[in-house]
Amino acid sequence: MEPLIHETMISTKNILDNQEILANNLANASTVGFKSALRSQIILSNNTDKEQYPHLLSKSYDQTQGPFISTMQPLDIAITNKSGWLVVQTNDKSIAYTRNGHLKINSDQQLTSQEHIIMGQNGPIVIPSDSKTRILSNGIIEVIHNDEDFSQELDKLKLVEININNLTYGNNGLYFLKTANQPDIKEIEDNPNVKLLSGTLEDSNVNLSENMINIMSDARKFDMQMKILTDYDENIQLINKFLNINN
Amino acid sequence: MSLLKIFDIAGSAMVAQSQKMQMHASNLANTDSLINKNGKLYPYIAKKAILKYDNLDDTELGGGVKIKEIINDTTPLKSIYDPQSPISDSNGFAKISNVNVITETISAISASRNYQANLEILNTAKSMIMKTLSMGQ
Repeated sequence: MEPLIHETMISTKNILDNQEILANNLANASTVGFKSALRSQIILSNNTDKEQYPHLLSKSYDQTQGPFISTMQPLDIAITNKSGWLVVQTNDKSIAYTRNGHLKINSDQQLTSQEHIIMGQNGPIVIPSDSKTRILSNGIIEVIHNDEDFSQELDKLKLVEININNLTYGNNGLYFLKTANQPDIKEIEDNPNVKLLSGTLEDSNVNLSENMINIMSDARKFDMQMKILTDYDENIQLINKFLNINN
Repeated sequence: MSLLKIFDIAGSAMVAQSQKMQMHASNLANTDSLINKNGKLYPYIAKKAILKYDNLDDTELGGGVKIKEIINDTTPLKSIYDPQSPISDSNGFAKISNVNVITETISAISASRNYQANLEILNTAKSMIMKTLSMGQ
């Protein structure tokens, strides 16, 4: 293929891929515990200064803490560590990670986040029915008896510490370990340094205006690429006409 | 045959202009690219083409053109505040590419028009040859 057309093709493909990331960020602007995705276009240079593709679109995540929203609900928690995660079990029994601390109790009395079962120290956490619970800052879940006179430790939430850039975002709103980077790590151990805030949720850290501006600037870049492509295409048509011996 | 010499001259110009256009397209495509060189990331530096007179066969009637070299644009890189950028320094400032999209787009259009002008010369030379060939008919 013509080098110019190839270059333009890769570039427009990257622009559209980036639009997808930005649209997903915007869609999750008010998702609890969501982390904004960033992208950078990287050229793998082979030190010859020519032939600088392929471009590689690398996706990373903005690690800044989202704002805390106070809800006063006993089952709402926010993780205060930048790289702390709750461990959940997906429907197909695989392990995933989330920062969405909007917990609910499902019909089996298990603690869940977005319908996914939250893991405690020994598997799913079952909350006794008709009981008041509270979650302490170190993840211990207590059942309260007799109007806070006496409380009993039920279980401890499994809290782990993983750098977000070692995780990938799945389509179901959960984060999974990038197995390519750490093939030997199957399960990450509980980390006692991860702390919680009870009665609080962590809002998404998406910057709306920044994402909107990036979408607009990408649309302009797309137009510019198309303009170059049209110009070049016109040249090709003319040269093809020249090659015709009859006119 | 001097008419065929026109083919060489216009052809060299078309090759040079289409390479130049490709370079501008590459600059435009990489306005916010990073270059991974030996494991470190750098912002993309705009490229510039230097065209040179190419004396095809030492006649005084003129010669063609060729791209002498591709150099890096020496316009200083701008710093922007972007703490999330993978190349930001400890104060949160990141260097961004020195590609100017306006000059790149206009230079690409200009290269394209230059290509078309040379193509017209080729067309004229071609019809002259065709007319010459049909002279005795």
